[in-house]
Amino acid sequence: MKNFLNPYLGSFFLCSALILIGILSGDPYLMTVLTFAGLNALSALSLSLLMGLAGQISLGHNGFYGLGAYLSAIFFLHLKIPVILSILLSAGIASLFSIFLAIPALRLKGHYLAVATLAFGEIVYLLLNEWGPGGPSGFGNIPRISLGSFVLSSSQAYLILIWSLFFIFFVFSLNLSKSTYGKTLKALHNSEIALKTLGINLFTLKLKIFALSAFITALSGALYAHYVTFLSPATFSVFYSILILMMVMIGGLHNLWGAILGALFITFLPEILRVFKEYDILIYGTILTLGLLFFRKGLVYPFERLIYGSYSGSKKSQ
Amino acid sequence: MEVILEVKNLSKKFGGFEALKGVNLSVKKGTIHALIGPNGAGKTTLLNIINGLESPTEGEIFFEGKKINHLSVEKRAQLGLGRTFQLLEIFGDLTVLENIKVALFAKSSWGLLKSFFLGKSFNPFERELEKEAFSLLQIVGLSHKALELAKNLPAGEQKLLEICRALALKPKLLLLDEPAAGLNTRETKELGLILTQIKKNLDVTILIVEHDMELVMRISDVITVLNFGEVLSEGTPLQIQKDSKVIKAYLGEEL
Amino acid sequence: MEIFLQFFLSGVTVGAIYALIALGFNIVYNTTSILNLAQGEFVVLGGLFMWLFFQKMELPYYISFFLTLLTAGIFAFLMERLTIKPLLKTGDPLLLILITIAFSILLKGLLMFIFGKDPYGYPPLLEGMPILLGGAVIQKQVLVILAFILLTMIFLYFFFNKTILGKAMKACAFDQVAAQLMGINISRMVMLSFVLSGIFAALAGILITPITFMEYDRGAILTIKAFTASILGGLGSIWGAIAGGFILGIAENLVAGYIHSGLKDAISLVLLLIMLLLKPAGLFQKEEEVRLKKL
Repeated sequence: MKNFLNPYLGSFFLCSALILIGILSGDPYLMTVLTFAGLNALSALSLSLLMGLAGQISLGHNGFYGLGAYLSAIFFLHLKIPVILSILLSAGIASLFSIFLAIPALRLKGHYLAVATLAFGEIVYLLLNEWGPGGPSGFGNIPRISLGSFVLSSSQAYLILIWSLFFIFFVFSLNLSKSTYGKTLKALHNSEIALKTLGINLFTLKLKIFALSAFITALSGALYAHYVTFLSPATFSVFYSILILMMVMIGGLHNLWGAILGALFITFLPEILRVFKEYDILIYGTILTLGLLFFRKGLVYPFERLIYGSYSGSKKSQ
Repeated sequence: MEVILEVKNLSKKFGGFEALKGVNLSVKKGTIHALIGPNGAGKTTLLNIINGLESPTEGEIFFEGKKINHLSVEKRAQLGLGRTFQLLEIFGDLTVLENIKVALFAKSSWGLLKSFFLGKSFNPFERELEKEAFSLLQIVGLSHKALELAKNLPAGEQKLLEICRALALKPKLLLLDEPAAGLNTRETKELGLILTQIKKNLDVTILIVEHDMELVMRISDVITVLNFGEVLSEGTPLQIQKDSKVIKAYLGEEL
Repeated sequence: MEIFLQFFLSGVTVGAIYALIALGFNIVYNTTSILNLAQGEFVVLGGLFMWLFFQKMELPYYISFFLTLLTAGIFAFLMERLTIKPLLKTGDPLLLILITIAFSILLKGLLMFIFGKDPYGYPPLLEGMPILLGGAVIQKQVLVILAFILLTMIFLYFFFNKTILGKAMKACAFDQVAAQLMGINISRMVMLSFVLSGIFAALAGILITPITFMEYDRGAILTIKAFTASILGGLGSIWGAIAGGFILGIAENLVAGYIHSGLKDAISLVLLLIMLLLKPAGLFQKEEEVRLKKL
């Protein structure tokens, strides 16, 4: 039982279970939603690293998501770079962009940082709308992921690929959150002044985690591009940032597990609400509002209670 | 004796208010140097300027003979200026041990990507850090609370934790801002012992701002009295206790 | 020159609307340090309810007008009491921003449920031929908008400087603790600021709908615009918001007219980024003042 509660093993079981459920169901619709949930979970994880761990707000992750997706597709279509390379390259470039944004923006705090990142995301969105291939209506014929002559084409394959990648990044993120580096990031919440007097350069500390977070989101965006094989700018508006922000908040900001739970919940919610037709936005908004009002510690909290008892979060959480 | 910190003709104005007026101060290596004075005398401001949180309107600061006016807080810390705060600045959401590890970590070159890719068990550096942090906690007698969340400690122990965290920097000069405030008599006594030990065993010079006169008289080698932003007097505890100016301005009402 | 004047005047019109929304933004920000990202939804609410009362139920203009403002006030009141008040004491800015987003989605859903997805419009207050001014065409509604913004400014000036309630709100913005010690009921001031900002936003909606029509999902972009205007003028500054609104409106229309219409929205964001990076306190506020107010 104790081993099962180990977060590394636990996440392995959860990711495997999700893959298995999808494949065994044989239902293409369920598999698609699960794959989207995996992509969302990856983006939410990156935001959880930035916000939950380092306490820095970003409303501009839609920009990185969009850059990852568009760049990877364009690299392949126009420069004929192999897909895997173009995915990595586009994530790297998005990460560079994040540094250009962060150098001035990270001097700002709280609201101002939120707004600066929001503006960045919106600019990327507008530029894609204006100058992206196909303009507002987007473009298609983006190739699937392939290695040599082997092409990943079935929905099962993408389900496995994306949740496996998520698992790998989740493990890395766990590493980080448990390491002293992670604790240093967490210390940002408590006292920036104290960190300074310990000789820690806050700026590079924030810059690096921002770039890492942007990289993971862009990676998720690039995977998205090669999964759906069609891109239109509407996917990359500020609502994407809000969406993954909601996932992280509803799931639980203080714990990386919140990213998975939130992503699953928020991805499935509209699908379930679809039966309500014109009520769906109303119910969606109501659930989010109630969630923020009454479950402030997130979906992850009841699980923490279950596992660690009522006094949770002190020694063992995460 | 060698001078570790030299402050020359330091002034600080906040708008029209002069918090410090031409203060000169020199702290000798290996001493406990106390800075006393009534509330509002400019003691905390002086500490803030020395460690770079505020910049002086005029004047120069030398650390080990090097002018440090232009250096950032971080750079000064890296040179060996440690600091604690009047209002605690501990990392409350981390455990006691993690507080110290974070401080030790600052001096290492262990980066983001290594922490990201390598788990704790593949990471010899984390274990070394842990060992070192434990031995530091032993100095202030907090090792038995290593795994508690810092915010759950009683105030006295939080103060010790903050001192311990500053020690992790391996400072040459430690600036302490009212470490005894809020402590009871027993805790204050312990604090005094710990500070003298730190001076002796770790070869750390201490500049301390403190209101508890008994503690100041017991542990310090030199005392500087500030009043209304000016140096009123300076000397050994005995000299200060006898100084009529000081008695009139300050001690008279308290001792 | 005539073309310039035309662009300029359309800029002034849109600018006035941005200014009205930004005003509400800043009133809330001042008393609570919350960014109310549901602001744009109240503009939509204003336009759609005005259509309901005026066009569908065929009530007289001024009755519809007041009923709409009343409805917006009630919604803003409910929003504050049900979502903001319970979370205010957590003091978590992120949570407070998010709850306004969540509420905005709720409100959008509600508006879509009531009105559907169609755009709505109704005749302006002053009908008749547009006026020609030096070769530029001005719709009469533009004059109405400008008149209203002038009235709003006069109202705000008197409210904040001459009434006890307004002065109390100002005190709250300046120093909450001190205001509380002086016996000001902070919670009531927060509520009032939300109601006022909801009403201003609805007013903007009522005024702009005859020109541009209104549909349920226009809220978000309006929020962003108002937000940009607030940042331009300096977050928390009432007069800055008005100036910021006009600057933004004019800049947008000039860029759209002379450079490229697709860049219309981008320019506001570029302006926003430049402002944040160079002068986060806004064009008209000093950094020190802002820090004093703990913004």
